[in-house]
Amino acid sequence: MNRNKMYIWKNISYVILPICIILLIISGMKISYNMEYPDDKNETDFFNTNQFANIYESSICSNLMRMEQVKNQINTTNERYYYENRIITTNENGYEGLRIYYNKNSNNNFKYLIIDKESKVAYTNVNLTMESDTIEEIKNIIQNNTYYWNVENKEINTNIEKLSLSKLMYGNTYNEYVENYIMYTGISEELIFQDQYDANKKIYNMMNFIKNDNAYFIFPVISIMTIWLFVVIIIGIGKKNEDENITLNWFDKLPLLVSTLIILFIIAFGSCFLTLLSIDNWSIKLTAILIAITIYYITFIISIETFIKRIKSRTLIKNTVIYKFLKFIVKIIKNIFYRLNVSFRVIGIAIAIIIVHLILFSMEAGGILILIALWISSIYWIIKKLNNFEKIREQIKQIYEGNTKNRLNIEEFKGEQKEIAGYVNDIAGGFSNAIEKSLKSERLKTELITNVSHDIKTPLTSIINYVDLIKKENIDNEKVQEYLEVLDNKSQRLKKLTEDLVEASKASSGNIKLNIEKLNINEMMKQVCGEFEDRFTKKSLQTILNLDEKDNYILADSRYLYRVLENLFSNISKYALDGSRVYIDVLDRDNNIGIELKNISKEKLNISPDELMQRFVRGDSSRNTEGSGLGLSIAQSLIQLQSGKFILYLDGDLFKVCIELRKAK
Amino acid sequence: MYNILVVDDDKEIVKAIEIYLNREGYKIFKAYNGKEALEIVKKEEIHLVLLDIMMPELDGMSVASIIRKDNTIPIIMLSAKSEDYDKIAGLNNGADDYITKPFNPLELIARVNSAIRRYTCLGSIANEESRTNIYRTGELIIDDDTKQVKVEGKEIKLTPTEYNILKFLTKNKGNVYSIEQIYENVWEEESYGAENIIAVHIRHIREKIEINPKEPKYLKVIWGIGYKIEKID
Repeated sequence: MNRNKMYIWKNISYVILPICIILLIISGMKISYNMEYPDDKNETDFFNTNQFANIYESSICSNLMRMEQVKNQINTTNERYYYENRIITTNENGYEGLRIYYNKNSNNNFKYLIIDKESKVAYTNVNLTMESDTIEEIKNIIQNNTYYWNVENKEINTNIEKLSLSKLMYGNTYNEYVENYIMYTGISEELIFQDQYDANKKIYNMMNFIKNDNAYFIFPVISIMTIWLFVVIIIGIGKKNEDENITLNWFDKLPLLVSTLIILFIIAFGSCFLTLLSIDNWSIKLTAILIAITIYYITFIISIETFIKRIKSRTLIKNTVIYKFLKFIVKIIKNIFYRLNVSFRVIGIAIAIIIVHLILFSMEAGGILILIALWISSIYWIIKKLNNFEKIREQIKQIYEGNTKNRLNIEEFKGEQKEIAGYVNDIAGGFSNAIEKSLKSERLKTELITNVSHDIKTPLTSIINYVDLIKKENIDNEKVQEYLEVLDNKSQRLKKLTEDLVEASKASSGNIKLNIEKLNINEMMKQVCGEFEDRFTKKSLQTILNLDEKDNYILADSRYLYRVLENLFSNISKYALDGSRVYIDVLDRDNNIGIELKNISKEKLNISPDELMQRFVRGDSSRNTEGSGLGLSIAQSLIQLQSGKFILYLDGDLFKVCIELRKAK
Repeated sequence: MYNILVVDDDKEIVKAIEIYLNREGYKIFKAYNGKEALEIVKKEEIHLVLLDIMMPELDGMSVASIIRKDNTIPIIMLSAKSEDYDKIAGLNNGADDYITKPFNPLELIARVNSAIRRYTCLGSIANEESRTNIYRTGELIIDDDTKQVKVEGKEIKLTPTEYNILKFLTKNKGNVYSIEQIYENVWEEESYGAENIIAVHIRHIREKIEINPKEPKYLKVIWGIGYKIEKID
């Protein structure tokens, strides 16, 4: 549903809601009445119902009990409202010496006269004149009523059908009363006084507004509708605008306590009108009730609106005076706490713990319970802190290992840990930026080198071709031949250099697409040795190839691995001492395969391995021979790209290369 | 007399190629950009095109694909671009071969000769194939009766061992054999560690039969697995 529509629906619901509630109350009452008096289902007249009979019965019973009290407590008459100070002793025929006690509260529709001839006591609420009522007169008045119940000569006489003997309570004593008393009771059809008869009759008539069977249908339907209206109201509250936010008015922003006080004040104000009910004027009473109900309903709307809005905007607890006060205190303590250095903090915490324990121990059982709760929550807190600490540690480890992509979620942390997490994220961000930048610059460099090398190659093509053409001209001049040889060599070397340069920059920037596969390293080493056999033989180098008995498999890109081995073997053929031995070992290690190449250098190696690995660096004495000085650098980069290790050892004249590659499963 | 069109915006390179190919007896047509090249192909009867990629007006890739639309003449790309994807793009655009600059003149000539032969005398090979003791892949032909090996029409001198190895691999062209397997099949006895020599022989064969032994066409090295003779129809 659209937000604006929701707002309109909510307001409509506020109008429908009271109607629903009234219907709900009436139908509910009807149902409960039917459950209590199932026989009255088809009655329309209140005076024919069981309910009326029940009330009538209880009126008889309660007045009989009062009669007892009147009899037994004659001497304390003044204290009881029902035996008014007016006591008349009558000399009427047949009732000589009878004392008549009057009930002060005569505003009752139920009229009665109870006579005990034996103890000469009569009790009534019919108060005709102040001085000279006779029993006969009182009797006549009561008997004038539409409905009656009398006991004369130990016989019951009544026209209220449903008031049966069996229904009357107090079984034993009741029979005694019938034996001993003369009783006249009655009630007029026109209920003059506003008592329980009047009230019940009005309610009964109101309930009859709904037919019996309809109630069972209306009640559940209206219940569901009421719940639905509440749901609509709760959803609709606070959503006035298009955006997601809850709009709070000034009232919602007040502290909860103040709001509550204002609402209570309005309720009290509404209740003032209810005092008008005591005025004996129907129109004023009705007006008072309407005003009061209206005020209550408005109060209800205000309360539910502010309550739901506060919950929705999560300010219900935050916007209380207590919360604000506690927050203020916590803030002060925190401020003081964080200014202390760590050792003082620990001391402070220790003292606080001791004080809390002492206080709680002195509180006996309740204190222990609070203490246990505190311990549990402290353990939870500590575990949470340690957990967060672990997260930070893990993140730092990730950064250390070079994974700078992930970030910590700052919101998960609190206090100092939040600060630390923030710093860690900044470091990770800085690193990943730096890495990205350097990768980008490497890429640009590779692109530049590729383009430049292309531009160099085109003129180089002409140089090489024309040098070749001149050579074919068969010039007799020896010097020219010698110069041509130099030109030829240098142009070839330039060609090799440009190729190596591109390759080196691609390898070091990782700009190479690898095709990793399972290779038999033994086969590979045999093949490579075969390739270089002739060149080694020319230099009288003796190859000693030590392979494992069984075949060993590695994970590598065969093309680039050959490129590496080609570089290393060609270095050996160029720089190894003539007539020396070249050792080639393949070693089976736990998770990887090692390849070791050892040879004796022809020239003195006056350089460190690190320097030798750098681009364009060669052993001083080798500077003048062919090659670009990029071979080792390319080899290292390519091995690293294949997740391997490339280590160079120089020991005197011993030149040793160790390569480690992943073993295939 | 075959006509070859050389297309390159670098006039000196065109000139040098002309000198080399004239010596081989080809007639050369020259073009310095793509448009000129297309015009010449339309007008003249050209048997082969040597095509540079980076040129003004119309680049070599486009020229190759336009020529390919209605012509089957061999096209050899000649470029300083040496990346794998450049070569793949060139071959996909209709080129038959790809030579990187700076090139070796001998290799250029060999590749041109080979392409011309393939284009012009395809029929003669089919005749020879009907004989039983002839093993062939592409233009590598082994006649087991006369123990003769011919590559692109040229006879190759091989030692008996080299011959046996090449014959075995050509007989089973397309299949990869490890050093051990080759040893066992050629010597017909079990190998006992002395088979390193196979790799050396293979290298020698390659140097003899291939135009550019570093980028072999027939006898390929599958690093870490073995060797094979490429199956070419």
